[in-house]
Parts: sequence; structure tokens; C-alpha cells
Amino acid sequence: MPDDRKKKDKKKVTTSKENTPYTSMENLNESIPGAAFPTVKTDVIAAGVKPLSQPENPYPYYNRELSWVDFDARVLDEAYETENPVLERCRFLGITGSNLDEFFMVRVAGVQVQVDHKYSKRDVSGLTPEQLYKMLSDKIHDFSEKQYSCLRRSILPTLRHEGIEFIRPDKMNEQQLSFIRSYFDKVLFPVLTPLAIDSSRPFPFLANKSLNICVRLKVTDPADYERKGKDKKGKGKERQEAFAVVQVPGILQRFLEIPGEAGHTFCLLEDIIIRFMDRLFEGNEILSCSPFRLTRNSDLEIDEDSEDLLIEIRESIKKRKRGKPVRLELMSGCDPATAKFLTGQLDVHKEAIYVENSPLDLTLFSKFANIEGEDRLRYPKLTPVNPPADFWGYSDIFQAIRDKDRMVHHPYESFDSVVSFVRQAADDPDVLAIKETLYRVSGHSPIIAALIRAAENGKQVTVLVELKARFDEENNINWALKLEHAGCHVIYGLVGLKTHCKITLVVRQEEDGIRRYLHMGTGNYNDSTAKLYTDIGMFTCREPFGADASGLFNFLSGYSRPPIFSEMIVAPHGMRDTFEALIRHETDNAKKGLPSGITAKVNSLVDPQIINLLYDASRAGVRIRLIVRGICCLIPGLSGVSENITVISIVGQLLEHSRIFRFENGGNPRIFMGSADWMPRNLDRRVELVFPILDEDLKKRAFAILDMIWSDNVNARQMMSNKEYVHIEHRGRPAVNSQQEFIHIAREKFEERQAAQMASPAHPKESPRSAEEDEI
Amino acid sequence: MKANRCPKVAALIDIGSSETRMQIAQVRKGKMDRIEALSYPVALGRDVYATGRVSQTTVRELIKALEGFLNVIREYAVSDVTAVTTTALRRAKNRDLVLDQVKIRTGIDIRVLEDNEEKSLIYYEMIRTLRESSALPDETTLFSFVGSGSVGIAFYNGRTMYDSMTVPTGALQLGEMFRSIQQTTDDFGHVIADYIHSMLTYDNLEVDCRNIRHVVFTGSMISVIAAMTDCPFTGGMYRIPVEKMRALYDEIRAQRPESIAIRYKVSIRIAEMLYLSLALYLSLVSFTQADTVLSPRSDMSDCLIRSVLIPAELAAYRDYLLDIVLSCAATTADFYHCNKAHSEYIRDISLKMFDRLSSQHSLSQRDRAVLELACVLHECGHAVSARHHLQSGYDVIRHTDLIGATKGDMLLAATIARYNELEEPDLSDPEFESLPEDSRTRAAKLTAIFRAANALDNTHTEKLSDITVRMREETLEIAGRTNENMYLERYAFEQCAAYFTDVFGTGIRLRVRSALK
Repeated sequence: MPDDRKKKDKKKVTTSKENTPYTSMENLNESIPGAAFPTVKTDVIAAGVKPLSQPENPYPYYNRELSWVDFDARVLDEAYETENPVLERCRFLGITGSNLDEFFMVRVAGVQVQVDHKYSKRDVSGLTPEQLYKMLSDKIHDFSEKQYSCLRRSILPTLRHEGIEFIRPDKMNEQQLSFIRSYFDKVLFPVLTPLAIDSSRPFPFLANKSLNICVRLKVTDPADYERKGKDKKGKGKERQEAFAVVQVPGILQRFLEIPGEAGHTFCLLEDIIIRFMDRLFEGNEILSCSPFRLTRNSDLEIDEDSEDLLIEIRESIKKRKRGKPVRLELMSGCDPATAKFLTGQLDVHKEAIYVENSPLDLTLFSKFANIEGEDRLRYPKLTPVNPPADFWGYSDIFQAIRDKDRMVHHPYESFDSVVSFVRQAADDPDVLAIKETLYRVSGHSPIIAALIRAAENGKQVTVLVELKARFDEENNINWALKLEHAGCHVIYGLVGLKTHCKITLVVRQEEDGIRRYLHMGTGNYNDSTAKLYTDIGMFTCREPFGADASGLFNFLSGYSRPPIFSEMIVAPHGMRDTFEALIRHETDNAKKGLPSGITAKVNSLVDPQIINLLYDASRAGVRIRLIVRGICCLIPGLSGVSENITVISIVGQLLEHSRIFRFENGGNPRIFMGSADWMPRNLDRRVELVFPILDEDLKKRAFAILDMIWSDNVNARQMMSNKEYVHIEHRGRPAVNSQQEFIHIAREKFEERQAAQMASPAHPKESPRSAEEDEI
Repeated sequence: MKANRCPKVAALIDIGSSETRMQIAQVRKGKMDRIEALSYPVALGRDVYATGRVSQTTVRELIKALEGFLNVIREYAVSDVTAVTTTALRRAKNRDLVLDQVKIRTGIDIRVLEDNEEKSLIYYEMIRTLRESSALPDETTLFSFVGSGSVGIAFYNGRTMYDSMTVPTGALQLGEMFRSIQQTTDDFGHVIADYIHSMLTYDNLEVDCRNIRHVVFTGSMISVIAAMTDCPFTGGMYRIPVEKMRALYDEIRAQRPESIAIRYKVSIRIAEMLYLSLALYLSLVSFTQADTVLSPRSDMSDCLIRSVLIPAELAAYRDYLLDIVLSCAATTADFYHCNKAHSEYIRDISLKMFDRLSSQHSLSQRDRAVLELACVLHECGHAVSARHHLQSGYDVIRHTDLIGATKGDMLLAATIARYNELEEPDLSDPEFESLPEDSRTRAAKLTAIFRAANALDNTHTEKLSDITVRMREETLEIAGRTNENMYLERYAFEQCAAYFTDVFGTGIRLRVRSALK
């Protein structure tokens, strides 16, 4: 990775109008919040009118959908950022594309449904669905233009400069043409299926997010196409126009490397297909070929009262594939007759039509970022430290946890420690039971493999697989069945609640009795995303945590009512009340002149009640530091409302994912971590877990982590009172890229321990593994 | 790790009227360490109090709950599973069928605890917690447990429980009553107070209440009341000022359960139970001078599982049981004007005989306690009928509710006390014949001892002193010292010898020495 310290010292402004995107389907999962609050006149408040918390004039609240687009805009900023390696810029661009897809499939679709049903109630931000839909459409149209501007004016020229180019068939030399012809004949032709459209053959069903080419033809073979339409004189036309659709096969890579003079030359699949389209319609004249892409409403409607949730979700997935179109992407210069034909056939809102440059579907650049042989154009590989400092010198993970609580910071420290925890438990003859929640898991999850082995080894294995994890439903059903076949006791979560908490419980029989070991984390048990997401996990065998964990699993299994948790904060059983109480406590302390302050790092801040309490706290003088990666509906820096609140967003090489909460508590600060964001869904409709850090060493470490993130002035952008995000000026201070700093810290600790081991005549409990296989 | 090197892990399932609970515990550093605590709502009480039976739907729910519990049991390699049930199933007409279905489907044998067993367990836990917290009053204290099926009331004298009673109407049943009376009065509290008063008056217990300054209450609603009156759980218990309880009651008394539920964010069921429990507690407290209600944690499951895990705890519980049974029996004996000195005298001789015969009778410590009980209560019948005092005594003892004693215990004690030197048990006695077979043998052995001991104080003058009991050449020899005429005692004793020999296969003889030197 280039030296971030040189980067972004210039002030770069991303306004809320300047729309640009970054990753994360996690932000999309909530349904449209109800209009629990009356209209909010943010402009009045921003203009300096003293805000009050009375119902008729509540606190300001920024619309969550608009805020989401702003977040995606910050990701696009990274694609624009010339100091980022160009293939990483491609990756950021691809991420903006996939994010936007999901945003349409869930959030825009939700707004559109409200518009279609003439729902006119205003949301918390004061917008009607119709107003919001229009604003979103405008904002996303602008954003889309920026995506393509970034690609064409910045990324593609840079790639060319680095010897990487995309060319179209009309610019190809004979050798290249011959290459793609051969590819078309051998690979493409057998998998292409042209779908003709006429009165007997209706418009075909098109898969969500699939790329298609609409072909306008002059039919010369009447046998193929029914004669229809007469001219004014009633005379039948000799040669009729018709349409057909050819789907660009999703199973093949979108880009094909072709022979070139130097570097890498690529061609897009749709260009090859269009070049040889006549081969599919021999005997007919092709008038135009127009690529287009359709995005559908993909929000599942699940009847949770169904006898078998697994079957119900399978059925819903099938329905999702047939959801109503919410976006039609056409390419600029699209044949007007084709455009008219498609918009007529697909029944999409005018605002839902997006005319874009080539290529459609920018998600291809996520894969393109991984092209072989060009590591120089990517961030240097990040090697997670293994073993993490907290486990140095231990071969027995249970011994390590028995000695004291342990913390692991991913991906700077290897996720392997978490996998090892489950693996050791699977093979340990003293382990009686393992319980784990799974929300999103990787394709070949070593955790799942370990759980299966544990069941085979006779352990009682209980796995809560959340079938309702959006877009992972199918994947999770498959895992669930595999686990069941292996003898695990698989449970599918609770009716009406998504299980989002990340917890593993190991029950072990020891000489002094049963002991429970726990891992609790801020991120999923997914070894793949653990290489890209920043998360924190804690291991402990403190008995109150063990009892709470057992109670939680008994509740999740449906064996018991929810218990009264002694240490854990669990949603929906008290998390909202606890957070609200903690914030109020700070407010009270500030009023009494006691030390007060709140630092919270979340992915999204949406919950109106929490936001109002934060405003109250700010007004009472509580200093509030918020690190909100994505959606932030709180508006900081407003006079009389939020001038004590500072909001920053970190968007960088890694996806900020950990949730950390610090409360000054009158001078005796408390710190918590967990799976919950400050969103209504997390506090009210999910099973979430937030846990306190009790070990003094770990507390210090957690404070330091939070402080380091807060001091970031490279990847951090500050949200201003006008909702714009600006880079933080260094003003003579050294540049701090918190993610890079954490990489250094993890390595330094590792090297320190390695050096200490080398210097010490005493043999450690076991030599640590020196190889770090995990690479990013 | 080898299983035998690990501390024992036990599970206790408690099938209550409104929920089925389980706890799993182990011994760590000599103390019980609870690992798991589960609760699953199964409304057995609703069914039983409404129809007298447990419906099939509820049985299925119960089985489902137990199957879930069994999964957790497997996760801890539990070696000892005890399942008990109390009021609701005890009163169900189809109890045996329910127990059978549960046994077949889950393999779990459920023991139906008698009301007295349940209450004695609860009081034990209350006393134990108070003692551990140094909060056990050293003067007369009223203990009460408000369950969904019954209300237990007991009196503690600073050393032990000395009297108790059970009001056979609990909060759930009051709920049914409440729903019908609610139409005619908005002050159900007075109705409850009248009801409680009438129950106390039967036993003249309201007199005992008047000077009481300490009350210790428990029940499922206490924690709710504590939360609503802002009384934290500290030092192992809640301390709730009566004034606050009364204020809460005044606040909710005019509200419908639905309004209470909305206002306090509780379920309607809790709201209803809250109102009724408060009314019950306040009725009880109104008979006393107490200004604060103490409420320690008092889960009978704790006592049961501790007894399984820790042998010393079992012994302690047995001692406690014996203590309260005998204390309460003494109170009952007083009520019937029994001769206390005589009872004590023959109790002493009986126990000496019992212990000396231990290698020959294979009876348990519980049987020993029943023998004591018979000795204490055997004269109750005299207050009813001098002519038929044996039969009257049998009836009184048999139908006396004594905390700590089961119906079986009382029946056995009644049977033992039914015989004197002139009457001996045989199968022609309908009472004796009706005993279960194993109880008949126990009854015969205990009666043989009791009769002989009783015969030695036939004149109620405790003539013999320095009594020793020893085995000599296949004969149990009872020796004592006296200068008084022992003809009547000797005669009575000899009447008992043949039966004694029949029962034990051992002879018995009396050796009296002169006290004069």
C-alpha cells in the first residue's frame, strides 16, 4: 500500500450531494422505520433556531437512505483516490456497484413499495415515501454518473498507464479478433440461448442482476417470427421487426484476457457476444444490440409461523428471484426503439431507469482487482499475526483463557485463534458440549468443519444457524443441513427475531468441575471476511459470562425463558434500556459536574431514541465522540443541539466492523463491545450481544484501540453540521492511518515476544508457530 | 479426564403450576455451584384449577419442555436427575396417567412432593439464607410462602418452626375466585383478608400473630413487587417496607389487570398474580406488628439439589426436618393436652431400643423419626374420647398436617400409636391391613418397640431411671433403677413381649434394680 501518511493531507470534501459508495450489505437489512416522530425541520434547526425536544419540534434527524448513499459516496472517494493502488481503486469501484445493487434490492425497493401503495406518512426525517423516492432517484443518478466518471476519466487511464487496457472488438487487430472468435465458438456459443419475443413467446423472465443484451432484428424468416402488424393500407410487411434477449452468461468471467502487445489486454464478454451476435440469428438482420440490466425487489417475505422455517425460507428465496423490477440500467446510446420496448415490457418507474456508460454492472471490477501477476498495483498483502499476542506461548487455548481473559483484534491478529478454539474443543476429550451462533459463514468454513468433527467425536453440538441472514439464506440452509446430517443439533433462531449475536460456548469437564469457555465477538464466524473486516473478539471463562451464555443459548434453543443476564447486555431483552440508561447516566453526571463522555464506534447510527438521548447528553455538556462507518442519522455540530458531538467515518483498506462503546461513568470508564449497532432493528428485532470488558489489561487495550481509531486522520472523514463529510486536516500533526497503525502494533507485539523468547533461556510452554499463512 | 475424577453434576427439575424449571449444579470447593437455570412456561395450574385435569395439549407442552431440558442435561454429563412436582400435578385427577406418559416419552420419573414436603423445603431455604446473611430473627417470626396453588404459613420461635398451616388456596385459585367476585366488589383485598383471617382463626393462630414483629415472605411475585417498590436485592434478600407494599397495592387495586400490565410493562398474567399476591401478603402482614417484609431467596430446588450433591447438606436437612416435625408435633400435642413428660420418657426408651436393634430391624432414620412422632402424639386421642382414645388418636394423628412429615409418615405414626399393651397389630385390623405391604412390616417393627416402651410407663409416672438397653444372648434387655412398685408396668411389658419376639425373632426382658443401696 502506498504511504498513507502522504495521502489525503489536502482537504477533500464529499458533500451529501456528491454521491459516492463502499461495502456492506449489513446496512441494508432493516425495513423502513415507521414514522414514529413528526416532521423534522432540519433546515430550521441548521439555520440556528433553538431546537427543543418537545414532540411538536423534535430533534433533527437525517434520512437514513440518503445517509446511506453518502456512505457509498465515501467508498467511491476511495476509488477516486489516486494514491490508492489502481487495482484497489477498481475494487472500491466494484464494491460501490454491489452495494448499490443491494441498496436497490432492499431499501429502494421498500420505498418503492410504499410509493406504489400510496403510503404517504412521513418518516422520522420528515419525508414522505414519494419525496424520498424522488430524492433518492436524483441522488443515485448523480452518483452513477460519478461512478462512470471515476472509471473512464481516472481508473481506465491509470490502468492504461500501467499497461492494462480494455479494448472493444472494433479496435482489435486480426490476432485478437481471431482469439475472441475462437473463444466465442468454443466457449460462449454453446451456453448462449437467444430468447425470442413475440405474441406467442412473451418477454422472458430475467434473473435479478443478470446482464442481458436486447437484440432488435429484422426478421427475414417468417417461420421464425409471426407476421403481425399491418401498414396503414392493410398490407402486411415483407420483413418484420422483432426483439430477442440474450443473457450474458453469469457463470463465465465477465472479462477475458486476450493477446496484446504488452501488459494485459482485456475484452468484455458482452462485447464479444455482440460482435458475433449474427451467429445466433443467422438469416436475420440485426438492427441493434443493447445491453441492459435489471434489479429486482429482493426483500424476503417470510411467514415465521410456518411449521418448517427452513422450507418457508426456501420458498421465499424462489419468490425473491421473481421480485418486482426496481431498476433498469440501460447503456447510453441505447437504441431508442429497444429502450421503449424494454421500459414497456418491464413496467418500471421512469425514475427507476438509469442510463449509464459502458460497461453496465461495475461489480465486475471487484473480481478484476484480483487479476494475476499485478500485485504491485494492490495493497501489500496483510499478514495477520499468528498467534496473536494474547496467546503467545500457549499451545493449550483453554489454559490461556483460564489464566486470564484474552482479546484478539482482527484482521491484524489471525482469526485462526478463533478457529483453533473450536478445533481444540472438537478434539478435546474433556469437552462435553459446544454451542455456537452462525450468521454468515464462508464457503469452506473451517469452523463448520470443526463443529462437524466435534459432533462426530461425540460432543453435544448445538448450532444456531440464522436462516434469515439476508442474501446468505441459501448458503445457511446448506450448512444447516450438513451440520444436521453430522449429528449437530441445529436450531434456526426465534420467530420474529434475527439472531445476530456472535458467541461460542464450550463446556468442559475439569478436575474442579464444569467450566465454560466463551468467545464473544463483534464479527461473524467467517474466516474469509475476518481477513477484511476489523473486528474484536474476547475469550473468557468467567463464570458470570458462562452462566449468561448458557442462559442465552437456552433461550435461543427455545428451552427456556430469557434469563436475567448478569454481565451480558442482550437484545431485545434490555439492551435498549441499558444503552439508554448508560447515556442518561452520562447526562446526569455532566449536570453534576462529574467526568462524563461517550465514545461509540458503530456501523450505523439510526435509532431515533438513542439519537435524541445523545442530543440531550450533548446539551448537558457530555462530550460525545462517534465513529460511524455508514449511516448516521444524527447531525453533529448543531448549535444548541449537538455542538458537543463529533462524528467521524473511517473508510479504508479494511472494512470497519467492530462495535465499541465507552462511557466515562464519572471517572471510572466502562467499555463494551458486541454485535449491535445503534439501529432499531439491532435493539428491538434481533438477538444481539454486547459484553463488558472487565479485565484491566484488556480494558486498557480496548481504550487504546478506540483512541487510535479516533486519532485517524487519513481514512477518517468528519461529518459536518450540513451533513457533508470532510477529510480531517492534519494541521501539522502526523498523519495517522489507524488500520496501518494496528498492523504495526500487532507485528511489534509479535516481534517483541519472539525476541523475548529468543533471548530467554527458559523454554516457553510451547514454541509458537512462526509462519503466518493467513494473508489478505 | 476420567468421569470419576470430576465433581458430581446433578439436575433438578421442578414442575410447578405455571412453569417447569430445571437447574444443573455441581460441587465446587465444597459448595453448590449452579451451572444452569432454565424455566419454561407450562400452565399445568390453569388446567388443573379450572378442570381438575391436565389437558393433552399441556402434557405435550410439558414433554416438549422436558425434552429440551434433557438436551441440556446431556451437555453436562449429568449423573443424577431428580424431577419433582408440586401442587398442580398433585391435584390433577389424571396425575398418574400424566406421570406415565412423561415417563414413557422422556424416561423421567417425576416424584410428586406432598404439600408439607414442599413447604418444609421452602422454609428450610428461607431459614438457611437468613442465617447465612445473619438476618434470621431471634424472636417469633411469621413465615409465609404464597404459591399459585396454596399459601403456607409457619411460625418460628427464634430456634425452630413450631407451628404451621397450609391455606389450600393459592394465587392462581384466588384468581379464579377473583374473576367471579370482581363483578360485585372492587375491593377484593378485603375479601382475601377475611378469608385469611378465617383460616388463622381455626387454629387460634391469629393470637400468635399479634406480637410478631418480623415477617418473612416468599413467592414468585416478590421480585416483581420489589422491583416496583424500588427495593434492591441485597445481602441475599429483598427488604420491602410494608408501607411501600401498601402504597403499591393502593395504586393498583382499582386498576384492571390489563391497565396494570400496560403501566408496569408486565404481562396480564403477572399483573393479575401481582394484585392477588399483594392482597395476600398484606392480609397476612396486617395481623402482625411488622413494618418490613424480608424476602430471602428460597427455591426448594436449591435444597433438593444440594441434598443430592452434598451428603452433609442432606444430613443437615434431615436434622432440620426432624427438628421442625417434632417441634410442630409438640405444639399439636400441647393443643390436645398430651402428657409431655410421659411422651418424652417413652420417646427416650423407644429410641434407645431402636438404636440397639439397628442390626436387626433394617429400618431407616426416617422410620426412627416416625417412631419419635408416634411417641409425641400418641396421647392425642384422650382429648377426643377417653373410651376410644386409641382409635381417636389414630384418626387425629393421621389427619394432622405437620410440616416436614408426609401423609405416609403420619399414617405410619398413627398406626404405631394405635396400639397399646392390650392391642397388637394384625391383619384383622382394617387400618393395619390397609397399609402398603412394605409399610406393614415397618409398622410392625416400630409398633413392637413403641408398645414395649409405652408399657414401661404405663402409669405415666416415669418410675424407672438410669434406663439402659442392651442385647444379651439374643434377648434385648431393658434395665432400669427404681424403688417403686413396678407391677403394672411389668404386666404391661410382658403383654408386649410375645409380639416383640414375633417381630424381631429376639426376646425381650425387663431388669429392674433397686435404687436403694
